[in-house]
Amino acid sequence: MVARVVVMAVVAMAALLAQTVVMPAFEVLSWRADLITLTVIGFALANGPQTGVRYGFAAGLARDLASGGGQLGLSSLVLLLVGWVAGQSRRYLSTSPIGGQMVVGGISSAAALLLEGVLGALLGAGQPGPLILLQAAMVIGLYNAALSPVVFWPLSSISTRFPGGPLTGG
Amino acid sequence: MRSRSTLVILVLVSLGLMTLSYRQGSAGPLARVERGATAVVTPVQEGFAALVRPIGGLLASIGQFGRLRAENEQLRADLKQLDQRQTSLAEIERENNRLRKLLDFRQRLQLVTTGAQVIAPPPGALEWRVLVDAGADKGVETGMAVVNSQGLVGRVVEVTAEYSWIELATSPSAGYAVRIAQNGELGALTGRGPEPYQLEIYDTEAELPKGAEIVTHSYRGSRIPDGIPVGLVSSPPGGLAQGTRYVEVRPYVDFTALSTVLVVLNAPQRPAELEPGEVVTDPNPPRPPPPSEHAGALTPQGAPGDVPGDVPGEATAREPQTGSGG
Repeated sequence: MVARVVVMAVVAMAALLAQTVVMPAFEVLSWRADLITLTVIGFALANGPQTGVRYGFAAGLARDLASGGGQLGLSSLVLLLVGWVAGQSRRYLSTSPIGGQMVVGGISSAAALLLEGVLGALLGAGQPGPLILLQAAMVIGLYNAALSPVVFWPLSSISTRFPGGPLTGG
Repeated sequence: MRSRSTLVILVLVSLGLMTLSYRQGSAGPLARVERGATAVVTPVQEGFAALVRPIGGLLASIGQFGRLRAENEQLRADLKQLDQRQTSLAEIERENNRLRKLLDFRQRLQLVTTGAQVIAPPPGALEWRVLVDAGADKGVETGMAVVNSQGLVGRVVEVTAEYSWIELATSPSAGYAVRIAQNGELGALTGRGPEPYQLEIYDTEAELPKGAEIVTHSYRGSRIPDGIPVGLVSSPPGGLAQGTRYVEVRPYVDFTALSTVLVVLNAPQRPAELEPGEVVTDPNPPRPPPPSEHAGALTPQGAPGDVPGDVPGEATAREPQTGSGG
């Protein structure tokens, strides 16, 4: 159980570092893929909504803290909701795992960005206009969908190697 | 069922954090926790960046081969154009020298700056900030302007002992007082993320020359220096009619390739901004040039608000860094 938590923390930290250091070199139409959200969706699909919610909250909190001066709690709220929805959706993915995972990865990522944009605007944080937000959601959704198989496969292996107890599953 | 109760609890915790963070601003304990996290995470990011960035850059270059080739061709074309414009540049230089003599410019005011290396952007997609390796230990304070060789980059929004967060000028929450360099018309500039800036011109009847240069405009209490280049008016395409209130401005700074920036620690005040006690009248004011020559000098590039001779009373400052005394 402890090993599983440590491994998941390492994954979150690695995603955070890759997101800020590596991904800026791979922007598509000025937008980066959202690796942190992808890890939340990946763990949720592999383990269920309980893990999705917990990991989403922790990864979101880490992202808020690493953003400096942002809205603390905003990313954690968005990512735990994404983790829950993705975890709930795994029961529908048995027929076409890879295609289904890509669809869930893309749609959940786009929805997460839109939700974060809307909540940020409600909280008074400066947000781009709705058209730019939609463009970002579309680009990041497609980008994340394309990366989904690459990211989900190691997360699935980690989940199998470090299984959670009865409290962590869906 | 268990996942739902966890969901509800963590949603409430998140909402609580958001409320506290919103209410406390940058002075509360949560903000201190954030600054502490920045101080802990940033050295790891710096180390990781030093390790990984060359590999990432190489891979990115391969992916951008087509774009780089097109850019190379564009640069060659630009170079040819620049060669053709040599003559007009010489003319501008001569005009510039004449204006300097005419208006008795003594010395260009210098900004006091400290250099900073960009470490990383924030992880979120909707955040237009960068983390730099200069903090309170180098005299950096919140609100200071950040520039690079191309122009205005942004302003400091958060400072730790060794690092600072810079809010880029492209951020939708960033706003700057600016003016059109050619005619001094004032306006407000706001960022729009990946899109060009939006400029609101206060005077709806003001003339907006196509390709007009936009520079910062300082006012009392502002820490943004005056006259920092921002960008060029780029819209509406095909000419700018009188009465246009909002226009797009294409930034000079390439925000996708930020590496070294300068934080402006001390900007000289414009004479109009000084307190009354700080201003003395020049005992030997320069003689004004003949009226016809003076009027002609300001028409092509001169901005009435930009030149010392335009300030009533020929004021000079006590502060040595203003450099306009005597």
